[in-house]
Amino acid sequence: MNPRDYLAPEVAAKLDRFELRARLIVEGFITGLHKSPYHGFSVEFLEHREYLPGDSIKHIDWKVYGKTDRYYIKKYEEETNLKAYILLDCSNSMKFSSQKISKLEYGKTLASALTYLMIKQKDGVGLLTFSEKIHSYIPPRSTSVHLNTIFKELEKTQPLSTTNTPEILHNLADRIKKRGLIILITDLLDDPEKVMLGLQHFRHEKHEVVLFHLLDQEEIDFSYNKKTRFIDMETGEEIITQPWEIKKTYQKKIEEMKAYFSSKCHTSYIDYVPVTTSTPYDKVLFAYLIKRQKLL
Amino acid sequence: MNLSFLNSLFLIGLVAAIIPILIHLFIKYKPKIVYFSSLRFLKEVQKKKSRLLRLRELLLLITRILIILFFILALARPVIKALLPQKSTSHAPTAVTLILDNSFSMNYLEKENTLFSEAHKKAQDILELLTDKDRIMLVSLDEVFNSEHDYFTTQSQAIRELQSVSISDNTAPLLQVLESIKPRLEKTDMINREIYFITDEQRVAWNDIQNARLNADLFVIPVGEDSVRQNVSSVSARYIPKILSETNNPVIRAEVKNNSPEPLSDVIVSLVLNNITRAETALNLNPYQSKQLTFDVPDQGERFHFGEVRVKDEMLPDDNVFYFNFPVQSNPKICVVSSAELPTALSSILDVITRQQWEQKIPQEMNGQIVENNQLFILYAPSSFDEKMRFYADDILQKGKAIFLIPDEYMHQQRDLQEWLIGHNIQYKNVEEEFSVIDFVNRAHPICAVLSDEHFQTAEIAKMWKVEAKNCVPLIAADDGSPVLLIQDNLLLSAIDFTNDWSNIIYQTVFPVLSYNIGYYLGDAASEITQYQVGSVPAGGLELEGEFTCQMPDGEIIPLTFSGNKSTFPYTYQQGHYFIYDDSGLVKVLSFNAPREESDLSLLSAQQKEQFSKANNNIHFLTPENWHDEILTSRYGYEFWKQLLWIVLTLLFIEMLLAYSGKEIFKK
Repeated sequence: MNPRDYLAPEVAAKLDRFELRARLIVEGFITGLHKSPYHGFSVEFLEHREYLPGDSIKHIDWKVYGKTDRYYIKKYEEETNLKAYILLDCSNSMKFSSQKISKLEYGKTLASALTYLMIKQKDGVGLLTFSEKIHSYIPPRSTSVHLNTIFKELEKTQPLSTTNTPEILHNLADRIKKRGLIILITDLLDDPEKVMLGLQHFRHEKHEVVLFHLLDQEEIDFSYNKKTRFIDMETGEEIITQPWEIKKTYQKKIEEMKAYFSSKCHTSYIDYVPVTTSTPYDKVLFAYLIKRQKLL
Repeated sequence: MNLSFLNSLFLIGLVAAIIPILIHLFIKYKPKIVYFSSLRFLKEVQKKKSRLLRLRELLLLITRILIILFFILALARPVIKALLPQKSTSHAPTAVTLILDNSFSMNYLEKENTLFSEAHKKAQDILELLTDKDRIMLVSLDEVFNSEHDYFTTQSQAIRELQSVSISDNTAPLLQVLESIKPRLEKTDMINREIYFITDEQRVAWNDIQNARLNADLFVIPVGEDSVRQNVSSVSARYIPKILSETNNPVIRAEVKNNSPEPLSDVIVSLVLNNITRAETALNLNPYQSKQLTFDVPDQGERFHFGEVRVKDEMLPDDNVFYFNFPVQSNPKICVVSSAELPTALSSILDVITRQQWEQKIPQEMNGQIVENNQLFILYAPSSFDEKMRFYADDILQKGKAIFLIPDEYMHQQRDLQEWLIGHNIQYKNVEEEFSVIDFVNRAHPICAVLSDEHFQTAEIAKMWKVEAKNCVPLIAADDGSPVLLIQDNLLLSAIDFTNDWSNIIYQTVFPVLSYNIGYYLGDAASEITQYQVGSVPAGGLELEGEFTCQMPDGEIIPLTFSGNKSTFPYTYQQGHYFIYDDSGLVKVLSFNAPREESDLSLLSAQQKEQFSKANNNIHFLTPENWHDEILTSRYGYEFWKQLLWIVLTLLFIEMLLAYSGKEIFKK
């Protein structure tokens, strides 16, 4: 199987362990990149690695080539003080899925892939899962062991309760003193203005923020064609409606919301990345990398 | 507005209209359940849309109810009456029965035209108002005409047939005509059925009309404007033979009647015999007065066969002439049943009146043939009255023949006879030998019609039977009140023996007259019946058998066969004389007259019309001014089930649009 296949969410979801998922996704991702993500990242030599197509030839260790007649590139130990915080929304609304994987499942896989990628880059990664309150918090570290800690935490993360994103954001913004990268994975089904204030709080504290706005395709299309009783996953509220009647207006609302976040984030220098559960992971990782590059 | 349904049973189906309501109220669709991430947006949107949704659901419900209602209504085939007067060009197809009053009163002359010609014109007008889609049955009050026109035809054909309707002397009452057209009208497959009766509104045609059960509206269209109409008619004329007349000559007794509410003076009445006017007289008549006239028959040795009594009346000629004929001088057929010899006085009179053709039999000789051959049986002092005789006596009476019982003083010995008489509520009690005279003659009975007690002035009775008979009518009675001659139907009883021991009546001049009357009244059934009413078919009793020719009143000569009680008269609806010839010449004249009820031109009063209309909602009396407009206003309008089905189709389309409108938008 081509490693790039694992970039498709439904394929990656077939794998049980996050470690495996993360590795396959990242490897597959990297294979496709023309430019090595490691280039220029580190200064201290760590080890040799076999040259892979796409690696820059200037990193080839010609001495080793002379000895072994093989291409090796030098790898350097990273020296970075970047601390990334992955904030994963695990409220009940994240449980929604119209296809094979739920938003939470997608979010978890994405978080694991990001963690893997970042730890491999020797960046410190922390994980925070929350709904109306914080469920778990793993402070950022950059060791390989830490990778397992995060994977385990992700594995046991279950959807819970309602959302209270703004409060969590404010809370966390107050606690993290050191400037870092905040990666927020959420469906943003909360008061947009309050959420936005929370995000701006991070910006105020000089954090960099990447916002992965995760939605299910059905939440955007709203293509139900039978009379339906909709039950709110968080509040349990019910509504009976003929979806085709309200579809247009609903779609307009969703678009308005996305447009709101898009424009507000733009003005606050926050990277806003709309994602659906069918978006291939490479696109999402790529967005992260762009951000990461900006930080250097 | 008048709405009716041809298949009203289907209306029960209207209950089905509650099905959509029940579904709407009680059956909730189980919606699909979806756990959705957040209802935040849905709620906002739903709020805005819900009113629209409810409105659409309501519209959908109404549409579905209407679909069912209109569909059921269409099945019930509704028809609606026109609200406003319509032009004839736009009426719905109608089955019209046009009854033209063709009784002879319609021949009344008004303003140089007869009422019938006016009726013709109105009938023509009505027919022209109709279209080719209508069906018309043209009838009259003449059942013979109607039997040949008992079908519905087209407008153009009806206009052609209109010319064939003419005045008839033989018309039926309206009720009878309505009854006969009813089944034919019922057979038509058209919803709109109407009957138009064009008439002079003469009262006589309307007898018992309130009992009519009509299956269509009857519109009475009047003709004629005069409310007072003059008519004098010749009501009857009859030959009275010499012996019965009071003048010792045969006479013609006639009756004329003034049928108008105004007096008439100098009405000229004339007697025509064998087509020659023999006498003429002028009369003054009070309103509705009848007068009897007596014309002497001129004795000039010639033989008369037929005659007419005419009145002069130009307004209505059909009842001006009354036709009569001279009776056939047949021989009364008399049989004397007796073992004894008949008194000479009686037997000699029998010789005269039967031209010696009477026969005498003893009771034992009686048989069926003798009963058949004779008309009057004189039972005189029968020596026995056994069972066989009783049987024949009953048979004679049953067959309408007559018995004249003349007792002798030994009658009480005849136990069987006494019993038979008691069976008829008659009892000969005892013979009283007391002198009495005759002081009562019952002139109401034809046998005594021309006699009076003066004729019996010198008649004396020495002895007589006391007869008790409750059901008998006395013809002659003695001064003590005991009946001398009494009659019960066709059983004539005498209380005296016609011998000189009992009474001298046999020597009186009145005796032959009385005997003659008895002989002709009881012994000759054929002498008076050659006067007929138009339309009846003469058959038996004419003593005619075999092939003859007949000259009809209109001059046509036809072959005619008489066989037993049957004859082959093709029609007898014309007034006048019907001459019957055999090879040797004229054998009989039959006179036919129209019934004179038609002569009474009294019109229906406003109260009577109102009464008829009240008794029968279907009868509408129109006026000369409004009939033209009124006949079309009451028509039924159209059947509109097709339009209803179109509405149902449209509603179905709307329903589909409403039901799937949301989904279609969704597809886009």
